[in-house]
Amino acid sequence: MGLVVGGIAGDLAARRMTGSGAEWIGAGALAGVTLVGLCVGAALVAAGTRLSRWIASAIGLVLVGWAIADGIGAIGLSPTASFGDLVLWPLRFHIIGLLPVVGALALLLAGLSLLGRISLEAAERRSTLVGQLRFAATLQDLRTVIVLRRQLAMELPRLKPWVRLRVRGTGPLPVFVRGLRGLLRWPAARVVRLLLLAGVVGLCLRGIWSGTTPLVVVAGIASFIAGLDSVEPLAQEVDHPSRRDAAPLEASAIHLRHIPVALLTQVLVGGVAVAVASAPGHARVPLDVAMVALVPLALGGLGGALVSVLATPSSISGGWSLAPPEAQGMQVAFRTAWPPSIAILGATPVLFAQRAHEQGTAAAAGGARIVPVVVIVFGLICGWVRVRDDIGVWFKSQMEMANAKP
Amino acid sequence: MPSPDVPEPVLVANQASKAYADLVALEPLDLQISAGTMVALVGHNGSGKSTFLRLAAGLLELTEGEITIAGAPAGSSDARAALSFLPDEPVLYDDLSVREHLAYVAALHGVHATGEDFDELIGRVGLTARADDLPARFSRGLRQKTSIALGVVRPFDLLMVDEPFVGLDAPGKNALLGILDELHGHGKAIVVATHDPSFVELVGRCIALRDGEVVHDGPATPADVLRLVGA
Repeated sequence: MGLVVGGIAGDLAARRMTGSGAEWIGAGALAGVTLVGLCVGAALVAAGTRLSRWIASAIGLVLVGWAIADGIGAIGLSPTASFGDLVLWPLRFHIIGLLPVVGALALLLAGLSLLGRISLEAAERRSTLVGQLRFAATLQDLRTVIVLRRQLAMELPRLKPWVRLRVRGTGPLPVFVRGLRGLLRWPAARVVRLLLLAGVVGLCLRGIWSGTTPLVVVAGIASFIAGLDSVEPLAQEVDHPSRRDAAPLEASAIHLRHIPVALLTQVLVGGVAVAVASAPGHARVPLDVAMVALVPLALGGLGGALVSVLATPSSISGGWSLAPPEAQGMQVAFRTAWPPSIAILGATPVLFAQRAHEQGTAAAAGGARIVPVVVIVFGLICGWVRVRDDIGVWFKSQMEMANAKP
Repeated sequence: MPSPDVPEPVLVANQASKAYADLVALEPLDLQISAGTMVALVGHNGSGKSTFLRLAAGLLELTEGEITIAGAPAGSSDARAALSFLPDEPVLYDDLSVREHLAYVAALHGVHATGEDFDELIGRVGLTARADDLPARFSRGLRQKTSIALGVVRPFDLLMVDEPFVGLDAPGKNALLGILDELHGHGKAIVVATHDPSFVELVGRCIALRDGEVVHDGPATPADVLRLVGA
């Protein structure tokens, strides 16, 4: 994976930089593999030395802070700068770029030598969860993958909410309030992840504005991943159907009422992304263009997440099991690609604005052209959320009628 | 026209059955449970107790026959409004405290309740000290107590409880029996599926299931239960 992604990134870089394509692809692939080696090696060493979560997080924060300080010129050199040297080898060869490669090898060797000291209890827990996670991934059940990954990472709701909304009795908008209460128990790791994803979206918007079109895919996927966290209160209902179905309300009505709080979260994520995109500096996106992108980003990421969470996972005993392999393959490909595609659509306004800007027309107006499409798609998704159960019942009755015919 | 002295049946099962391919989980069952009655549903593992309760709650689909709750087909929104079902494994949200669970469930059922009402209920099931904690991380017994509170915080005509005493300590069991007694006194119909033979002494009607079939329906003693369904 590191090899392929690094190679693709190198190929993209070759189109804008001097130097041969082969050099850039080679350097990108090496950097990708090195990055994977560093991550896996660090994880093995942390597990082998039984490093506490807080110390591991603190080391990570120091490294990130160090890199940022180096990036803004506050200090002279950071460990991550040598990784930059490796990536930029096609431009200028610095022997220091070998440091991360050697570091990755050293970490992997050290990690392997420490394997015997890994906690058996933790290893057993992880292996059980990883087995379930692989099975869920095989069935394209993204929600189960997310839940299992959170268990692996011990990412649990906070015992004490960030702000306590006191229970004074029953009140209006119970589903909305329930969603807020759920959000207020988000663990710090989830909040930080959403901020990082918002930052990634913002940086991608800057890249799109400066002409790197493929970044619209990265922005869309980051927005989609953020959406999967934003719909957590709704996903809780999906995870506990018997609790939800005990209420004298249709499940679809409850699902629909969860959307506003998820949208609020996505707008906050989009707001951070817009702030990052329009912050002063290289490739700054004009504020009016960035603001045009705010609502589509939120709707796209949320729409994709809604489809992903509510779509029934593939069933090995379902009607599709009788379809030809080609048809099954197309169905699986569609199910996998459709939710992130909606999020990618939501990330396109800056692309349209950039094209309009290149053609000498008003950029913000150019970006706004795609907004109604995103709004309509989101509206259709909300309609689907409301009637999908009815469609399922109708489809099942049609199938039963068809099967009953002699 | 029904006699005014005979309470309306809250639950009516008419030839209700459930099968998984060639495995019969519940043979065709005819049953009526009236308002104000407390029924013990007993049977060994796999006898069909939980299957029947889940069919009545609309969580399983009938293979044949029908079940109505307060006149509405099982699983319909009217039936769900009339039936409160406590499954054997408590189902709780990961991200809500006990108090927040109560507020949410009560509000979804249109109940107007104050914080004091919730506190009183929480106190009755012995969770006062844990009211603001996440029940999804409780022990089995404490989750069961939360589930009981959620089952009775909402309005209902019929309460169906599956194995409520498993995991409960003595005070928890006594609290539950007290709540069931009080609800019974208020004219609610209650069905308790249990392995605990001593419970049949507290009720006027015992339905015993064996291999998916009703083998007894009427008053019973713990000795009768042991004889009918085994130890």
